[in-house]
Amino acid sequence: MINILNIGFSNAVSIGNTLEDLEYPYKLITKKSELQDGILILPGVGSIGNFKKDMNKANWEEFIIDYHKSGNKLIGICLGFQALTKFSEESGGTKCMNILKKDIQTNYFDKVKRKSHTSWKNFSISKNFLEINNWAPIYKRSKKKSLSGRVFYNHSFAVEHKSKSSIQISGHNNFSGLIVNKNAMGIQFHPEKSQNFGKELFRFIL
Amino acid sequence: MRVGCSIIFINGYCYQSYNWKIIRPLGALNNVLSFLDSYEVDEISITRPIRADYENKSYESDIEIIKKSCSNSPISFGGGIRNLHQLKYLKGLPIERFHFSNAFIHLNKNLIQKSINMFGSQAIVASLPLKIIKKVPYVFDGISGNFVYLSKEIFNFVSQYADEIILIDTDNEGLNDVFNFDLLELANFPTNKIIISGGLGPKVIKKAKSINIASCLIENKVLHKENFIKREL
Repeated sequence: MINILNIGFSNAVSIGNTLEDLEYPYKLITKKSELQDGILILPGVGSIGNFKKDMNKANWEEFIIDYHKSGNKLIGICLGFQALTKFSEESGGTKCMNILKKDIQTNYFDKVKRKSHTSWKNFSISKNFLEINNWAPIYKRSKKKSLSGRVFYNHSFAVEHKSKSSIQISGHNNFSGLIVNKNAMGIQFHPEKSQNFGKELFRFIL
Repeated sequence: MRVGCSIIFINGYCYQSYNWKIIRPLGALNNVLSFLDSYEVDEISITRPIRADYENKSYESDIEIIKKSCSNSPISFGGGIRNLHQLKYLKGLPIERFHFSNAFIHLNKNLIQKSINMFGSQAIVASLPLKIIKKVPYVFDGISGNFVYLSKEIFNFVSQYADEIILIDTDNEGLNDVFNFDLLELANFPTNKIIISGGLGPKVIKKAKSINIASCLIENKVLHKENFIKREL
């Protein structure tokens, strides 16, 4: 089952709509008792301070860490990605769940030119990348060996990290567009708002 | 540069507007979004045109319709978001960015700051419907229903808090390829934060790209696919 955490953050419903289109089994969850084994997607449009406040109301963080430890997959999208890192500079500095390990932290994206990064960028991913990072799709609906297309970014903070487990943001090579670490994946862009390519990407990773 | 479109939203239906006063129906929201998704437009801006307080009574019912909307394209939404109570209704909508007009014109720091806390600074866009009167820029104030001088205070406030700024050419809205670039010079915001709308067409889009504008929102011929075919990666 694909679980989508729905505690009031904007793109939970959009992700649900996309999965509905793709005919995946999914559930928008608001309570811990609703969570089933499989995949939990952490969506998010907002600030990390507010996100943490809402998560802490029902001790979601510890619960998610345990869910991941028991072998289930996590996918964090945009703000949900930040929440999986160790620390975020946003909201005056915020301790996060540290699921993506490797001291990965979220930093201000561009202190000089613009407050945020709002654009469409090229993005490519291969099956080989998923394999070497031990990410095995559960549903295996895509037979493609690789995917290329454009994805939509809208963020002020980003994860500064470079390694074989990271695909960089096109044109901003210090920052990750997507990271995989064991059963956790962080995605900086919005696949649910990246039109047909976003749908193909969901088929590729789910 | 992104090329998207701007639609007017009234009581569940979408319209395009001409000269800031005449509207032409486009259809139900989900039908319009479905067409625009199929064209793969870069972004969709949905605006409730609130030009007097009594027009804002449909706020909650409009939000309910937006909540049920379905699109795979980036969406910004605005129009009539004037207080903290109304802000709370926006949480959980399938929308990435929100545009504010009166909150910026009336220097409503509390509302803007709360919005940034709630949605992140990347989600906050200023929408400024502009008009040039005697070579001076004026902006439409939806509370008084009049155009007011785009003062230094408004300029500074918008510059500080808005991630991007939609400049609407109200005189040329709905017309083809006649956006008045003097507005950019008079308003004087950095071009890489500006989204233009009102009187767009191929030549305007070409010029906008050459001066590093962030995005163009086509407001006329919204459902014409040819407007969105060429795109830059």
